[in-house]
Amino acid sequence: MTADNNWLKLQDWIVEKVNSTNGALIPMDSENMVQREGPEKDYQFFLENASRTMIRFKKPERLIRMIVRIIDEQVKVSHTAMLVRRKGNDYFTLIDSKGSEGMKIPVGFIRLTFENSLIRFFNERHNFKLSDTGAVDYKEVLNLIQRDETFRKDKELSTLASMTLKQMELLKANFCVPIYYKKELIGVFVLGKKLSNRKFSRQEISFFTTLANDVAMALSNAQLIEDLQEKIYEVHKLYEREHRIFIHTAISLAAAIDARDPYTHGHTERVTQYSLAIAEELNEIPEAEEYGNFKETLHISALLHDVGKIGVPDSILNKKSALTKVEYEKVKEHSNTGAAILYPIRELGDIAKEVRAHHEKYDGTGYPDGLKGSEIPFIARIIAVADTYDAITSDRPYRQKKMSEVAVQVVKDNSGTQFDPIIVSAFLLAYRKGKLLQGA
Amino acid sequence: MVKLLVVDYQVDICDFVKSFFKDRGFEVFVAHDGKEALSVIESTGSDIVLLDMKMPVMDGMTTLKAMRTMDLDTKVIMVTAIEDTDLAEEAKHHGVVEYITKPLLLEQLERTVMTVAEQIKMAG
Ligand SMILES: [Fe+2]
Repeated sequence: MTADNNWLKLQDWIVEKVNSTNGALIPMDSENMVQREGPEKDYQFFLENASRTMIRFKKPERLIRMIVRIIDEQVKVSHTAMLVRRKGNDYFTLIDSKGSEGMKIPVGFIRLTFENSLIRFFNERHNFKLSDTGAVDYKEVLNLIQRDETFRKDKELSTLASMTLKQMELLKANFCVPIYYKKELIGVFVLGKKLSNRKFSRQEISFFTTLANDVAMALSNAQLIEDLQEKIYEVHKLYEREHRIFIHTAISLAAAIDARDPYTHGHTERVTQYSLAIAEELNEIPEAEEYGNFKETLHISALLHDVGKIGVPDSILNKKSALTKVEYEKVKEHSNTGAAILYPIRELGDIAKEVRAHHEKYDGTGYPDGLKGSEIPFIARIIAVADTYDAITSDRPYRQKKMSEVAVQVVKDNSGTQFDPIIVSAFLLAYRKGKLLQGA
Repeated sequence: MVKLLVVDYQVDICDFVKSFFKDRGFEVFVAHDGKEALSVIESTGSDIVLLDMKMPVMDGMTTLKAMRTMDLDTKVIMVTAIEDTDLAEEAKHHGVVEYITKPLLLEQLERTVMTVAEQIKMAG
């Protein structure tokens, strides 16, 4: 769970790209300019939309389709395709393909195994001996094989290179861009020849490699979320069998999330402890009765309330100085992301609601939905108090450690604005009983 | 020139395979279902048929059986997404040269077709 596999980086990239290119995202030669109203706007719009959709629905393949389509439309080539290795498969297959009749390789028709020389060439990273970007131009490699003496002396490399060219011929590929995730080959962009018959420009090549990185990011993030959901689901299945083990496993999952943020170490654990202590003082309150199993739901919700932090880059979580506005916006997304992770698991749907709302404020000024008063799920209102209390009492990077009395005062002062007064009074009862001390 | 017939419901597969074997010196015809395939075989006298299994109008197995009643020495290579050993057995029983499952290894398809083509040339 490092910043590497963070899908938010993709959005960063888009924003950065948009800013640095004044909206003209594709580095195009004049010959490739599409005579159409504002193609760059379209591109920007599509890609931004695609990345959002992808994040929301965990469908990186949509982004890939979008990218393939954009390359096909804007950089005129005979055909464009994307080879990807799907989870559990030991071969690569085409997940999208575009191009003219006969040139287009049908989706799902062929497969390339790890014995395939093209895959070997990229997987064993021999391609980096030929180009610093790792991308391979058919004509350039052919030139090397035919003319370069030192290259020819390396028998193993030149043999593999010529076998790779054969594979490229089979795919009618003039240009291939490998897609790596953590040095592991997960896909290959396959490009036919430019309709203008010219070489790909350096700008285009760097553009393709950037896109390859984004695809890697998108694929691995989708995988990450899927894995996490699987894990949570497993944990929940366990719950049905053995309740105690379930809680323990949820705790270790929460601890794994916690561990990413060194400054709030133990935060989840403490928030859970405080939430349960507050709930002790809320016995027989009608709101609690509305839950099938109030304590249980509270316990799990508290443990998983920050699960969405998996989507916040390490660089932000570990930042010692104050956050910028943009960074803060990213942090704010974690409640939404957490809910998005939990929603699809039917049994945890109710938990998702609580997780989503744990930064709502009683007066309606919180996020993400600006819910007000009783619109905010009851458990989320409890977690909000516990969360704030812990934020003040623990040593966060952007704040000096404060005394717990100060924290209590803050909670009191915000009763009725940020917090539900009923929960604040339960909080005060628990505090006076000494239940809100670390490790109490 | 060896006559190759590509039978697949998917138009883009037909286009791709057609262009692929045209480049390798074949005369290539296409059909998108079994019924169309039979009439093409009858009119052109195809030497090799690449036959898909799941197709509308007439599926691959029915087409294969029909071909066998026509008393042709056309060589048939099954190319299908259906991974089914029973079906593969039945196809072999009806004289299919090779049963290839999609997604396929392009070299395997190439090699199989080339080998059969060589045999046809030697015999013919
Ligand atoms: Fe939070």
